[in-house]
Amino acid sequence: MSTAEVTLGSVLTDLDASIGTAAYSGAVVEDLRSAIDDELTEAVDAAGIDPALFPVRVPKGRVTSVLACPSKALADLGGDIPPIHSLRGAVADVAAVIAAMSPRKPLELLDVLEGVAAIDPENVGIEMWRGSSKEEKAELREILEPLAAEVQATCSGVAIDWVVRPQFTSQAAFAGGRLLATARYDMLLSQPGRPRSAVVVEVKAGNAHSDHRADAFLYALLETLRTGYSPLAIVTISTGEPPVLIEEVTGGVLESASRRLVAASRVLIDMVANPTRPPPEQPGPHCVVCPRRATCSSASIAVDAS
Amino acid sequence: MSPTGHVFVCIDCSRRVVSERSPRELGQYAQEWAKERLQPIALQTAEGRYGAAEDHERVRLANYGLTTMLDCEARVTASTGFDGWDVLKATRWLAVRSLHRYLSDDGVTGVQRAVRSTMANTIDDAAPDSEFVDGWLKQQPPGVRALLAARSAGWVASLLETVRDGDLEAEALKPPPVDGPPMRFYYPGRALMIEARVDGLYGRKNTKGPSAETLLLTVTAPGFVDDILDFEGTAATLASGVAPGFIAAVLPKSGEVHKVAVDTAMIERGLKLCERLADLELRAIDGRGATDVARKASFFGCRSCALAETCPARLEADQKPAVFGGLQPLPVDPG
Repeated sequence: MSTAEVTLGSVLTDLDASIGTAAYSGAVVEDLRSAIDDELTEAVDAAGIDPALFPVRVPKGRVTSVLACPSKALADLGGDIPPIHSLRGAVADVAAVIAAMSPRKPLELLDVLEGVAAIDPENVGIEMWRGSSKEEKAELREILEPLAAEVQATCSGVAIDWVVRPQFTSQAAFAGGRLLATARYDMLLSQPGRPRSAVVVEVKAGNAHSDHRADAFLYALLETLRTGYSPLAIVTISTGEPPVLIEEVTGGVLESASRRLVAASRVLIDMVANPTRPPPEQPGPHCVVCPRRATCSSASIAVDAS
Repeated sequence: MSPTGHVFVCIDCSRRVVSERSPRELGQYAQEWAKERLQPIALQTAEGRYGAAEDHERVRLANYGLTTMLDCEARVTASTGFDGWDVLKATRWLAVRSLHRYLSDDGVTGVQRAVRSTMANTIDDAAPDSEFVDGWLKQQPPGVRALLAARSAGWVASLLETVRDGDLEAEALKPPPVDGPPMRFYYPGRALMIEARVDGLYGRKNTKGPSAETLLLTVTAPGFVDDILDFEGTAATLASGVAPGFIAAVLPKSGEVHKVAVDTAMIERGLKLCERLADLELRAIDGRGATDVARKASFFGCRSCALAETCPARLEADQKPAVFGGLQPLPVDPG
C-alpha cells in the first residue's frame, strides 16, 4: 500500500490554527446572498414560468453542464452512468469516509464494498459486482483495490475531534423559494464546539480537472450561504495528480461562484420557461462524449478544430 | 393569567405569544379531542371492534407515516410495516443516544467519542440472538459500522451547529427523551399509539404559566415542515399531557430554523393530521385499501411501493415524457 505524503489529517492539522477566523461572515455574506437573490428574482419574474414547475432546481452538476453546452446538458438528462464509473466513484467516496473515521489500519476492498452496498444498495456498480463471475471480479479487483488503498492512505490521520459528515447536501433558496441551488459534498468536516471550523472535502476517483475547481468554488459559496461564514478551505482528494488540492476561500472564489451560479440559473430558467425552444449549442472538448455528436452541427465544428 | 389568556415569551427572540389555554389545559384539550375524534378510527374495523392490542399489533402514528402520507396517501395504505434495520434507519437511533452521552456529564468529550462509545456499549450489551437494533449492529462488518458512526456523528454535529452557531443559543441544549411513555400517547384500549420524535430540547418547562420549553426536531423534508411541526407538537403534547411552549424545526441542509408557538390552532391542525393518518394506516389492515385517497407518482416513492404496478397515478406518469426539474431530455443519436 502506498503511503501518502500529504494526508487529509496533515491538511486539517495545518488548518487548525485558522479555526474561528472565517474570511467572510456577517453583513458581507448577507450582501452576497442579496445580490444573487436580486438577479435571480428578476430573472424568474421575467420568465413567466408555470408555477407548477417551481422550484427550478439548480444542482451543482447542472451548473457545470449548462455552462459548457445547454444542448448537451439536456441530451445527458436521464442517461445511465456506466456501472464501472459508478462503482469507482462509490468505492472512492466510501473508502475516504472510512479512512477519515478510523485511525486503525485500512480496510480491505471487500469491507469497503460492504459499506457501499449498505448505504447505496441499488448502486448500478454494486449490482454489476454482485452479478460478476469469479474472473470478472478478479479484473475488477485489479482496478478497485489500488483505488481503495490510495484513497484510504490520503484520507488518513484525521484527529478524532473532527466530525465527518458523509454525502452532505447543502441548499440555498432564491427568488422566494422559486429557485433552489443544491450541492452534495463528499465530506463536510467540522469540530462541534468550535464554530467556523468547516472544511469541505471532495473525492475524485481520477485525475483533477478544471471543472473540479469550479465545483469547489460552488461548494464554498453554498456552504457560506448555509452557515453564514466561509469554510476554512475546500479540499479535493484525487487519485491522479495532485492527490490533494487545497482551495483557499477568497473573495474572488465566492464572486466567481456567484457569477457562475447566476449565469447557469438564467440558462435553466429560460429552458424551463421555453421547453419547446431548441437549447443553444456550444462546441468544446465535451463534444467528444456528447450523445448528439453525430448530428449536432456544433460538434462537427469542435471535432474539425481539434 | 392575563385577561386575554396565557402569555408565552420566546427566550430567543422575546416574541410574546398569547394562548387561550395554559400548557396543561392545552394537553387536556388535545387528549380529550383525540379520544373523541379518533374513537371510531381507533377502535372499529370492518371486522368489528378492536380489543386491547399487543405491542406489535398496535397502529403506530409517527413521523415516517406522516411524511409518506404528505407525499402520497396511497403509499401509506400499502405499507407492509417494519422490514428490518439498515444504516439509514439506524442513524438517528445511534445519534440520539450519542447526543445523550455527549450532553451528559459522564466524562465523554467530543461528538465522535460519544458515538464510538455508544456504539461499543450497544454491541457489548447486545444479546446474542437480539432481533433489535443492537443485534443488527453487532452483525455488521467494520466498513458498515464506520459509515453508520460517521452518519450519526454528522447528525449530531448538524443539530449542534444549527443550535449553537445559529439563533438558538439562549439556553443550553438538553437531551430528548429517547423512548417510552414520555414520547408516546396510547389511545385507551391501546390499539392506537401516537409517537412524538424530539431530537433535543431547551428552556424551562412550566405547566401553569408561560412555558419557555422548546422542542427541537431535525427535518430533512423542507417542503413538509409546517405539517411536521403541527404533528410533532401535537404528538408531544398528547404524550406528556402538557404542551411545550414552542417547537422548532432544524433544517441542516439550509441551516434554517423554523420556530413556532404551540397553541390551540396548531393542536387542532395536528389532530386532523393524526385522524387522517390513522384512517390510512388502518386501511392497510382492514382491507379498505387505497380507494378515494390522494396519489402522487414519484421516482423514489413509487420504487418501493407495493401498489406501483397498478397505481393509476404511476401508470399515467409512465405515459408522459420524463421530466428532470422541469427539463425534458433531448433525443440522442440512434446507436
